[in-house]
Amino acid sequence: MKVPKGARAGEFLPGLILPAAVLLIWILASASGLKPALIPTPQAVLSILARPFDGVIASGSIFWNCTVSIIRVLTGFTIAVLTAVPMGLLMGSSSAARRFLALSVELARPLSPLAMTPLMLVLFRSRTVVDVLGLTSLRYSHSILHEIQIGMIAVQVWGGFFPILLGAASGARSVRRIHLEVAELLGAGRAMIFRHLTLPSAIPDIMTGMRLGMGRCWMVIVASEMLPGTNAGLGYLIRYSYEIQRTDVMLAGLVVIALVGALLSHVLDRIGKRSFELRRRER
Amino acid sequence: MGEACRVVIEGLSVGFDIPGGSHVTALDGMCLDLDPGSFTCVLGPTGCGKTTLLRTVAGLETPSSGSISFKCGSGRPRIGFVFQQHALFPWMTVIENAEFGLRAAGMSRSDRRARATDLLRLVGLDGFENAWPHQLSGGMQQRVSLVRSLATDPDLLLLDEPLSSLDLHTRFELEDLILDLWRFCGATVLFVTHSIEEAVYLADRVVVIGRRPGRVVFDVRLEDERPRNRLSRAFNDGMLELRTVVENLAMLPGPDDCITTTSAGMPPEYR
Repeated sequence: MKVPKGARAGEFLPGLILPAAVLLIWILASASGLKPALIPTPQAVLSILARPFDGVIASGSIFWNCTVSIIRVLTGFTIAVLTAVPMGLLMGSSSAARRFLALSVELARPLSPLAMTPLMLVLFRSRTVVDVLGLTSLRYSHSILHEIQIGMIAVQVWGGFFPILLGAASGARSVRRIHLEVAELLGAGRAMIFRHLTLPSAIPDIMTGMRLGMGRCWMVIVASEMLPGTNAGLGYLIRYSYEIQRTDVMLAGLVVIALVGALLSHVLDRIGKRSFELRRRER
Repeated sequence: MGEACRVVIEGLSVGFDIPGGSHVTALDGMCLDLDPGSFTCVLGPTGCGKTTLLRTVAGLETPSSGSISFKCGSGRPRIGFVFQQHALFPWMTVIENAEFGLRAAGMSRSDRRARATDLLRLVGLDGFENAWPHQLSGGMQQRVSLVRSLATDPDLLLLDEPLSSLDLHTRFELEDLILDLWRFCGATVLFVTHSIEEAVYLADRVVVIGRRPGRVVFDVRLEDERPRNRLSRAFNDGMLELRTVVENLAMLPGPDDCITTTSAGMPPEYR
C-alpha cells in the first residue's frame, strides 16, 4: 500500500522528540563547562562519526570495528536460525521430541550467553575461523576472517538460539484445530500438513523469535567483545576508549551500536511484516 | 461424480470427559438411517449434540458405543465437511484453498487448477481465484468452503450450520446454491442447522434432536416440489408444525424409541 509522504513523516517525527531532547540536554551540559574528558561536546563525537574510515586511538576505524561486530553477529545469528528453527518446529509438532528436549532446553536457557563467554574462551582460546578452516594461504595476511573467533560465534549462537527455538516451537503448536481437521478430512498426510499448515502458521512466531534473538545477539556481542580474546569490534573499542580515557570515542561507539541495532531490527521487521499481516487476517 | 452413500447410525453414543472428572453425554443411543442421495436437515437447540453427530460421522470424534456404517460402492466414503465459518486457510489464496483436497489426492497442478477454476466459476467466484480469504465477504468465504469440500467429489457431504453467520439475503442465495450443488454432485447430505425455515426450504427430511442427552425425537419427510416458495401456505404450515415440535421438546417421548427415525410424518398429538 502506498502511504502519502506527508503521512509517513507525520508517523516518524514524534519518535524524534525524545532523541532530540537528549541531544539538547547533552549540548547544554557540555556547554556549561564540565570537564571535556567527562562529557565531550556533541561536536567532538560528531567529528569522529563523520570520519568513520579514519583510524581512532590506534584500534582501527569505527567502520572496521563495526564491520567486525556485524560479521560476528550475522555469522552466529545465521547458525542459530539454521539450528533453532528446525529443532523448534520438531519440538512443537512432535510430543516425543518435546519430552526428549524440554528439560535440556529449560536447563540451558537460563545460562546467559555472557555467563557462557569465559567457558567459550577456555574451550576455543582465541582460535579464529582461519585456524579452524585451515586457510593457510591467509595465515600471514590479515583479513576480517582473522577477527571471527570461534568462541565469539559460539556465544552468539547461544544467545540467538533460545528465543528462536521457543518461537518456532510455540509457532508450530499454534496451528488452529479447525484447520488441522479440515486438512485431515481433505485427505492431507503428515508431510502435507507440516508443509502447508504447521510451517505457515509458525512463521509469525519464528519471526518474533528471530527479532528477539537478533536483539540478544547484538547486545551480547558488544558485551563479550569487552572481555579479553579480541582486539577488534565495537565492544573492544568502547572498553579500550575507557582505558585511555577517550569518552568521545566511547560515545561515538555507543551511537553506532544504537544505530546498527535499530537497523538490524528494522530489516527483520520488514522481512517479517508479510507474515504478521497474514496472521492478522485470520482474526 | 460421487457415489451417494447410505449411512446407517445405530445406537450411537458419544461422551466427553470434562476437566474435573465429570462426564457429559452428548449423544445417547441415537439411531438414524440416511438414504443414498437424500438431503437431511438436523434441527435442534444449541448443545443438543447436532455438531457432535456430524463430527462423529466424519470420524472427528470417537463413539463410546454404537456404530456408523456406510453403504457405498467403494468401502469408506469420501467425506466433504463444511464448517460454520473461518475454516479457510488464511495464508492461502482462494484457489489454493479450493484445490487443497485435490493436491492431497496427488492430482497434477494443471489438472487441479482447471477443476478448482471450474468449480469457482460454478459458484460465481470467477475473478477471485487469487484473492485472500479475508478479502471476501462471509458469503463468498462459504462459497469457497463449499468448493473446497466438493472438489474431491465426496459421497457424503456434512455441513455444520454453514449459513448461520450470514445475513438473510446471502443465506437465501446460498441455500439455492447448495441445492444446485447437491443436484450436481449427487452426494448424500447431512445438514445441521438451528433455523426451522432453512430446514423446511432445503430438506427431503428433517430430524429433530432433543435436549441432552441427544437423540432423535422427531423425524419428518418433506415432499414438496423444489424450488419451494417460502411465502406459500404449505411452507408455512410445515414450519409451524416443526416449530410446535421444537417448542415442546421437553414433552416429547424420551429414550428407548429408536423407531421414531423410520416413521414419517408428525405424531398424532401434534397434527
